Amino acid sequence: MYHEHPIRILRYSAKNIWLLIFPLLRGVSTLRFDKDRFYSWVKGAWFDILILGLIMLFGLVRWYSSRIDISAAAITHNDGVIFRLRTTIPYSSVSLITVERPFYLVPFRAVMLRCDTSAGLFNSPDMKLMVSEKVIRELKRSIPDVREKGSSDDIPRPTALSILLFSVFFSSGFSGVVYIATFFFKGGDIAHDMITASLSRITMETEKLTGKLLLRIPEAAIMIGSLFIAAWLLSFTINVLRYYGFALTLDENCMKVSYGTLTRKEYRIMSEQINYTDLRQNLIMKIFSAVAVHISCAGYGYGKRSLPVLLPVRKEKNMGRELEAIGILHGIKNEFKPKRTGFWQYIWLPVILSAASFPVHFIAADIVPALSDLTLFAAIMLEVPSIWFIAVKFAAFLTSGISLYDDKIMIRCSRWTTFHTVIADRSRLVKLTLRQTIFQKMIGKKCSVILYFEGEEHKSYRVKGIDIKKAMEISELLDHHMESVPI
Amino acid sequence: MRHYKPDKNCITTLRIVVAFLTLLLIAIIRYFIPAYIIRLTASVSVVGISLLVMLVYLPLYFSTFSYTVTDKDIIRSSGVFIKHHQSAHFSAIQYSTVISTPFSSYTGLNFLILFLYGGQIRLPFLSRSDLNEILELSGCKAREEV
Repeated sequence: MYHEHPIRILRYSAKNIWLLIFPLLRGVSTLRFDKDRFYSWVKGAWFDILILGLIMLFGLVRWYSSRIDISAAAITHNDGVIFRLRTTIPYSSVSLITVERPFYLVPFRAVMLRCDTSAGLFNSPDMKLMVSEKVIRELKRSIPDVREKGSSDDIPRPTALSILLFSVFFSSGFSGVVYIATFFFKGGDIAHDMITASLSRITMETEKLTGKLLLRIPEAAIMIGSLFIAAWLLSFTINVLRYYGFALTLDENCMKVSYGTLTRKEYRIMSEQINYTDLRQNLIMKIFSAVAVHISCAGYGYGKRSLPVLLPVRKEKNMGRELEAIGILHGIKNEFKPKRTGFWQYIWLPVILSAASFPVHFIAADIVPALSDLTLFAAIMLEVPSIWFIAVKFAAFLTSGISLYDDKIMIRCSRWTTFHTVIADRSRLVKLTLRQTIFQKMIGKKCSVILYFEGEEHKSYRVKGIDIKKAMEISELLDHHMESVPI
Repeated sequence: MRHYKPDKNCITTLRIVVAFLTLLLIAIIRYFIPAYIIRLTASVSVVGISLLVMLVYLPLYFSTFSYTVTDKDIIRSSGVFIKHHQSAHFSAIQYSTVISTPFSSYTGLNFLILFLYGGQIRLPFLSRSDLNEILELSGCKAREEV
C-alpha cells in the first residue's frame, strides 16, 4: 500500500481555502478600530492561524485517506474521508499510462500519474494521482512494457528539424496568423487614408485636427497584427519546448513515447487499444511528401494544447518498417476513388468565393465610391485564401479514396486544409453512412461515404463523389449490408 | 440468474435523513418568519411534503429498483413515473468504483459504478454482501486478482 506524494497535501489543502471566509468575516466585523486594537489583532491572528492549521489538517487527512494499491493485475485508489471511493482499474483495461514530470515538481521528486481506459468521462483521465518515483517504479513493473530485445530499432528518431517543422505547422495555424497580421497591417493603412480623405473634404481645420487623431489608427492596426504574430511565436515556442527530445520505442504489444523539456511526459500506450492511426498533412507537407503520424487512443493527446502525435514531421519514404505493426504500409493505392464528375463537389465553395469577391467589390464601389479602396482590399484578401482552398480541394479530389486490404481499411480524405490518411482494423469501424444530396443523385449517381471509428471523440472521415455502386460494394465488404437502401 | 434489491435499511436511513431535514426547515421557518399564519402554513406544507416523500415516494421508488445478473449481462431497472431498464455486457466493463458512506453496513448506502465503453451503469443502495457478489459475478474481482 502506498500514499500519494506528500506534496499533494498542499493541493488537498487548497480545496479548503473557502474556510478563510471565517477570518475574512471576522476582519470585516472589526473594521472599526478602538483602544483594544492590538489585543483584537492578536486574537484575530490566532484565529487565522487556527483556520490555516485546520485547512492544512484537512489536507493532511485527505492525503492520508488517499491510498494506492498496486497488485499484479490492477491498480486501486482509495480516496475520501467521509465518503470512501474505491476505484480499481485492471491493467487489461488500461489503454494509456501517462507519467508527467513538471519542472516545479522535480525538486520534490513528485510525478503526476494518469491512467486512462476506453471508458470513463471524455477528455478526463480515469485516475489522476500525484505520486513518488517509487510508486512509478512499482507500477512499471506490473504493466506491459516494450521488450528490451526485439523492440524496433529502425524507427526513425525525430530530428531537431522535424520537431521544428512540426511546431511550425501545428502552431495555431501558421498561414492563418500571417494572413490575419497582413490584414491588420494593410487594412489599418487603408482605413486611415480613407477617413483622412473624407474628413479633409469638410474643412482645412478639421483636417489638422483629424490628422493628429487618426495617426493612431495604423498604430493600433500594427499593434493588433503584431499581437497575432507574437501569439503565434509563443505557440511555436511552447510547441518546440513541448515536443523537444521526442523518443519512440515499440513492439507488437506496447509503445513508449516520451517528449518535453519543461514538463517531461512519458506515455505507455497499449497497442491493442489504439483505435486507428492518422497520417496528417497540409498542402505544403503533401508537396514535399512529409507526414505527421497521429494515433487515436483513449487518453493520448488529451488536453487543449496536446496533439496525439506518434511521429512528428517525417518524409514518407523514411518511415521505418516497424511502423507496419500499426498498419502503416507503403504503396497502398486507392481502390475506390471519387468519380470525375464529383470534381465540383470538392471545389464548389472556394470557386464561388473566388469568383464572387471581385464582382461584389465592383458593386459595392459603385454604390459607395468612398469605400472603393477598402472593398478592393477586402476582395484581394478574400481571393488569396480562396485560391489556396481551390488548390487544397483539387489535391483532395486527386488523392481521396478508400482501400481495403487484409483486415485493414484505409481512408484518404481532407478536412478543411488538412489531409488525412486513416488506417484502422475493420473491426474498429462502428458506423458507415452513405449520404446523397439531390445534386449527387442528379449528376452521375454519386454519394459520400462517411466512416466512424471507435474512439472517445465522435469523429468521422468522409470521401465525397464515390459512385453509388462502388459505395454499396464498400458497405458490403465492410459487413454493413445496405442492399435494401432505396438510393 | 440472480436478482438483487436495494438494502432495506436504506429506506429507513433515507427516512431519518428526510425527517432531520424537515425539522431543520421548520426551525429555520420559525426563526425567520414572524407572521404566525405564514409560519404555520409553511410548516404544515413542509411536514406534508416530507410525509408524502417518506410514506409514499420512497417505498415506491425503492420497490421499482432491481438488479438482475445473468451469465453475460447486468440489468438495472428503476423509475417511479418513467421506467428505465439498462443492460450492459460484462465484457464491456472496463473498471469499477465503489462508494461507501460511514456505517454503510448498517445504512446500506453503498454505491457501485461500472464504467463501460461509452458510458457507465450505476447501482445504488446495495448492501455490502450484494455489492461484493455483483463484483464477483461480473468478473471485476477476477480481473483484479488475475
